[in-house]
Amino acid sequence: MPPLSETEIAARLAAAGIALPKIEQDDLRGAYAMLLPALEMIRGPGIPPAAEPALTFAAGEK
Amino acid sequence: MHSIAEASALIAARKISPVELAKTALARAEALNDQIHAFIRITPEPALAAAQAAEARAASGSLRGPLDGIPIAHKDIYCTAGIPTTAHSAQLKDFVPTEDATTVRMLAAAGVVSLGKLATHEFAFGGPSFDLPWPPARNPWDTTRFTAGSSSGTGAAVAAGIIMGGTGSDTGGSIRGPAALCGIAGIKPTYGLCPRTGILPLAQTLDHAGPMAWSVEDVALLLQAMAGHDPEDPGSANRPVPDFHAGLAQGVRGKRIGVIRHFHESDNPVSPATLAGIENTLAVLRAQGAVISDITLPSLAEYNATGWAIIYAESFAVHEAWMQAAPEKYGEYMRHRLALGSLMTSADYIQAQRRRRDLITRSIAATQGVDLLITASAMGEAPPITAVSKWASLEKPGFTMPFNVLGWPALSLCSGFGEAGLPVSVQIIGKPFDDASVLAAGHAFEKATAFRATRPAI
Repeated sequence: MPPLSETEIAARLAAAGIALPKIEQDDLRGAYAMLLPALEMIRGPGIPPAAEPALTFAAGEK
Repeated sequence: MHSIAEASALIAARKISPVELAKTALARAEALNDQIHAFIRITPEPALAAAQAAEARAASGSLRGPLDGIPIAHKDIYCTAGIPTTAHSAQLKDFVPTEDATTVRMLAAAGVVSLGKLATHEFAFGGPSFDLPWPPARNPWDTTRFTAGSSSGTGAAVAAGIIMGGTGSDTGGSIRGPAALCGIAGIKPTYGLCPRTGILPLAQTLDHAGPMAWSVEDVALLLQAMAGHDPEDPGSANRPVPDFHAGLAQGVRGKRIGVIRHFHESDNPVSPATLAGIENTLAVLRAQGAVISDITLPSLAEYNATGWAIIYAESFAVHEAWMQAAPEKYGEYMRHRLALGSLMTSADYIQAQRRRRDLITRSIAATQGVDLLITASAMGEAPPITAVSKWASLEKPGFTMPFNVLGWPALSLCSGFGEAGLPVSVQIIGKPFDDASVLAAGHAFEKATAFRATRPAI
């Protein structure tokens, strides 16, 4: 997963409806680069099927 | 300063008065708040009214239990009817709830006397911040030092001997961090044990409510009042609540304790004093009959990657509308942390929840042969408050996050003092809904050591 460019940061913030000054966007870009290893780590190694019930839905029956 | 257990016995024997206790605590709160900023709001009138009611019950022999007349205070993300609840933020500067949080109501029913509302990192996430309507709490052991957060005011006020206990919340370590750096005890109970209704959320799948106090025994007494089913909280467990105070007597004889040595020796090496405190804890518990062995869990980094991905995503969802409408009303740390969450994708969040389930499965398998776990709760003594980085959570993996990801009960308690004379700490963890064994182990350590005899000289 590559770091986000200045343009990508601005685009994602705009898509989220958030307006931040350019200097704060630059700071965020550095923070996102620090978060990237975590986002890569949660994707590997492959998650076994036994872990998938985490995403099931309960209709509320008792 | 009495412990809750001591004060409770004295109130019941009519040797001390809840009104006098409240007046003394209120005076100390007023006298120290300019130094430690533990309180956002001190509320003398309702405090004295509650103390007078407790005193009347003491006089008529109708005390409600061990918390009746005991001075505490609430983290300012706990809603309090008729009393402003700000989350330490300009966003909620004038917010006055119409109802109490469930746990506030439960504690009031037990007779506690609330002195007011305590400092927090902004919305339990953004801190330590110097650009909010109130200053950040300071560590009573050395007011130039960090309390940790986010339950910073609770940690400071308990350590300073203003209140005997208080409420905290813990999404990635916000009870255990301040407990560690302020030299007190705090438990993040099992997920679902204490209702969160009426507590402003940070990240709902990781948020826990819990108590903090000077000793583990006092934490057990407070937890008793805070635990129970609440149908309004979908994460609340509907199961019997054990007698935590009676459970302290079980001790650790025969308990199998797994030391997660790689967490604090290689994944994120702790200070020499912290390591010595952990080894001393193990020696004390072994001498009382615990069986100690090393165990290996997934890496600290993996739990932290999962937990922080969830926190950034869920917290942004909670604050999305305010971030769009008035981001300038947040302090810089909070605004930037929320903005980081806005950069994540839906796939990032779903992958984190998938990884969380995988970590739970692997952790259960790795701990089959033990009853309790031990590791660090913080790296060492409190750092200077001005030296805390905005992105510290991304720089080194914390010791507390794994047990938010798992939902298992985890207690931080003082294990000694470091090179600068400030407290160091140890973390004791249990299996889901075995909070009683965690408390019993912590209590056994405290009773066998003298660390509870030293208070900060403030």
